[in-house]
Amino acid sequence: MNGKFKPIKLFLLIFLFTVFPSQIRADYIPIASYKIDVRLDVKKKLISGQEKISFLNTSTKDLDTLYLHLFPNAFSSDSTIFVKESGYLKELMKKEEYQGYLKIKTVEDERGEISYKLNETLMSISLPEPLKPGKKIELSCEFELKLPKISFRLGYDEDNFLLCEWFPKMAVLEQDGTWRNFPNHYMTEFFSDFGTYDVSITLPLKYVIDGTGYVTAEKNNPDSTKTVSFHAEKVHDFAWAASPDFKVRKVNIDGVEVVFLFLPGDLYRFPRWVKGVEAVLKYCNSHFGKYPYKKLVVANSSIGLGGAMESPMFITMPPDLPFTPENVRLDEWIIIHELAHQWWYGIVASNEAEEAWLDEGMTTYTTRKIMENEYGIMGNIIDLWGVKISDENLTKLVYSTSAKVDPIVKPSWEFLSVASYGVNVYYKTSLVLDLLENLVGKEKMDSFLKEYYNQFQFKHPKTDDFIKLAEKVTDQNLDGFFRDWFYDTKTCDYEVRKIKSEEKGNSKKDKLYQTTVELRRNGDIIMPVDVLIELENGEKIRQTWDGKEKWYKFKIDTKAKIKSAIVDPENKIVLDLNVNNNALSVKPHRWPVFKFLSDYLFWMESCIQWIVDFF
Amino acid sequence: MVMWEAFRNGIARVWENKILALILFLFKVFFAFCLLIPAYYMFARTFSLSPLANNFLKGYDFSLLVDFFTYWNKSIGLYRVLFLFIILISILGYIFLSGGLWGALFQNLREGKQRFKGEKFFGDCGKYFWSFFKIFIFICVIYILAFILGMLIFSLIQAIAGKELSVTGHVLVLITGLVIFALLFMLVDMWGDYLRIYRVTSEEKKLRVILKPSLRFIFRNFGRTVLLYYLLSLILLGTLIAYLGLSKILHFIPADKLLILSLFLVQQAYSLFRSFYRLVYYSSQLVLFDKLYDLR
Repeated sequence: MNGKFKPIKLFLLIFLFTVFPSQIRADYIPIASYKIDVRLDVKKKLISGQEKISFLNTSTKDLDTLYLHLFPNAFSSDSTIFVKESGYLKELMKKEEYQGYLKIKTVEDERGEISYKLNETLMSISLPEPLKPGKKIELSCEFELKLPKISFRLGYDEDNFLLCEWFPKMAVLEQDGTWRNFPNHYMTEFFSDFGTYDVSITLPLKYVIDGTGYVTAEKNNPDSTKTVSFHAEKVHDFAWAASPDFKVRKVNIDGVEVVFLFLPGDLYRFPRWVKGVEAVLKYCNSHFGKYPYKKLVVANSSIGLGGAMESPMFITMPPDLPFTPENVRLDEWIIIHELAHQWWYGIVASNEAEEAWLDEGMTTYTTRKIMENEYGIMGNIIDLWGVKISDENLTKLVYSTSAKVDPIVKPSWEFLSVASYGVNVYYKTSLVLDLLENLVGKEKMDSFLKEYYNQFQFKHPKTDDFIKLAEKVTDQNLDGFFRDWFYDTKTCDYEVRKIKSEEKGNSKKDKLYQTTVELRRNGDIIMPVDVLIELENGEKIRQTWDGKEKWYKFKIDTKAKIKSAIVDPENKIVLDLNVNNNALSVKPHRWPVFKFLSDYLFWMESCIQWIVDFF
Repeated sequence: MVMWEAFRNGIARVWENKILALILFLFKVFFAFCLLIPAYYMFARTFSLSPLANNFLKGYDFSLLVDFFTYWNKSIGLYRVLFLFIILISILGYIFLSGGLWGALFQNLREGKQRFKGEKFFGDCGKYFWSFFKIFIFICVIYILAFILGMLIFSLIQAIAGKELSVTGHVLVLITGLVIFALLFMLVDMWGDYLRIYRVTSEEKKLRVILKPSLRFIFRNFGRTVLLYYLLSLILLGTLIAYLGLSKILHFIPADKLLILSLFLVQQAYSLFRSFYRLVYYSSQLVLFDKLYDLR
């Protein structure tokens, strides 16, 4: 423990953490820092070595126990919480090669060995004497990591190695002394404190390696190995990849050295990935705040779609995605999404496990903004042979067709299923943020997100912090909005049910009509909506309905008969479950229907023609 | 050149039997209508009174279609079953109809221009149905084998090309793969046609009896049979590209009534042409067969 800590510093620290809310915490403080020295045995798929952890008690309580995460133990058998919840991994884990473990050999503090307890992916260390608030402890830990064949974000595939969350790692301690020490569930990602990392990895000479941070030294050893040293500050993980097959490409984008590690089959994607990185840096630097590091690594992982992952200064891209033309932008979507995580998770590091929407939802929203910015509102995912499908279309499709059984804000492992987690945390959240933008205006939304990034960079904001700041910046009471959309499973659907105009009075010269528009609110969420009424003389009348009742009838006097009415004409309520009932005309629209009929008839004739052609 | 002669003669003979193309076209329209009606009902109910439907005049507005699919989710599930059922019925229907088509074309070749007789046409439909059904089953199996062979060849090409390919390399491998599959499937389709020719011309009902001679015929005259088939297919490809170009122009300029009507007419004209041209395949191959094995 650090005995040189002065009482005045302790007082200031406690004062700052208790009196002021988290968003106005002073400067950046490294809380959990690591010095790691390991050797990779590529034949045995073993990593052995030691780490020195320096941990600062930033809470107001004395600590007699410390908690650490041991994520690799999620793969230790087919009966771990992680594997059982995954379902599909259970069969795989019966094979020995897919199993891995993180074995702790010793734990010591400055006075010698201390006792610890293991509980699958969690380790608790009982301290010989309590760690006082504001005090630091230094622990040494010797460990051995047996890498599993990669099935999920950590492991090896033939000679390729990918590692994130791979070493004994401190759990996050709240200011009130509560530990965020959850076991690794299948539907949880990670949550760690910021710190400084000095990592040395020894591995065979022919391996290409890169990871979080900057390479500070590389020396060749007499036994045909090399030791590569990294240094990183203000990060909360050290992720890395190594392979003798990596092809390295480097580009400098906006002052950031971007290192691409390609497996040979994916090298041709280089120009598309560069464009993706450029798009993210351009957008996020200007809309949120500048990327604070000078380096970024984009590495090919060895597993499919689940192989796309974010870590500080390091992202992975799945290999062997199907070859697509440039106007089918799957590659672009993935790289933009993973890279946008640098802002929402890497730098603004919310709790990915218990409030996953704060990183996944924010990132999905940001991904859409970047896709729209780069490739247009329409057809930014697919723009092929006249078929235009946008990110918003797909997101809406996923949200609309899924059961709405979970709210957005809840711990990841409490969602009904993986699908429900994905729909709410990624897609519904991104649409709710779109809706928020439509309600408060783009300018205010941009200001809010900029402020959010500035206030919470290198910190751990929570949902409450997000809501309070949104209300402050937009100067609106958003309590009801967030309660309905974030903490409830309510839905929204407005409908124009009936329209009519009846002649009023007998004057033949200046005819007057009583026009009635009947609106319905089919969902439970109450939002004020605009209604645009168009008359036969071309006049347009705009009205607003507060949406409080289940139905409402507008009765207005008009000089011409009604032609049509549209509720929410600008489609601000992007989560409206059925946009098609938002509008109604008096006269039928025959030509669009005829065009559809014509096309559909031809498509069906073509189907039958295929039978004629081939049989 | 005998193939060119067969092609020209084939067109002339189908032209003399234009009614066959019309029957085939009406056959397609009938089944297409069966598939269209429920889809049209759902679409019209959703959009006929909605001003938002005008967005469809500029292409396909997916924001509206997303909600359409969501709203009709259960009905679309049922529609899929109906689709499969109707497709199955149309396959059987075509096996039945093709007997009459082949019979009429063969009669034209043997006896010159004849007046269309429904009695004879539907008689042939019934007469050849069972044989053609067996040919259909056999050809389905051969298609599967051709697919497996295609996959093997494609994997081999990928292995030869290696992993470190440029974008152009990937495009070339993909195009090569598509061409290989197309050539293989065309060969299978061609074999199916010559099996039917043998059935119609020899009056042999047993499939196993006509398998060998049809294959022998194709391989003995491999250059001519294949070249004729690929010549027919190349011309079809040309017309398809021309149609797609025209349809794209008509689809994506802001539509008015006249343009929508033009699009409808172009689509139906092309569908009629496809019916006509499929008969040209039959007829040209029949003429080639006749030239090489004098049928008269």
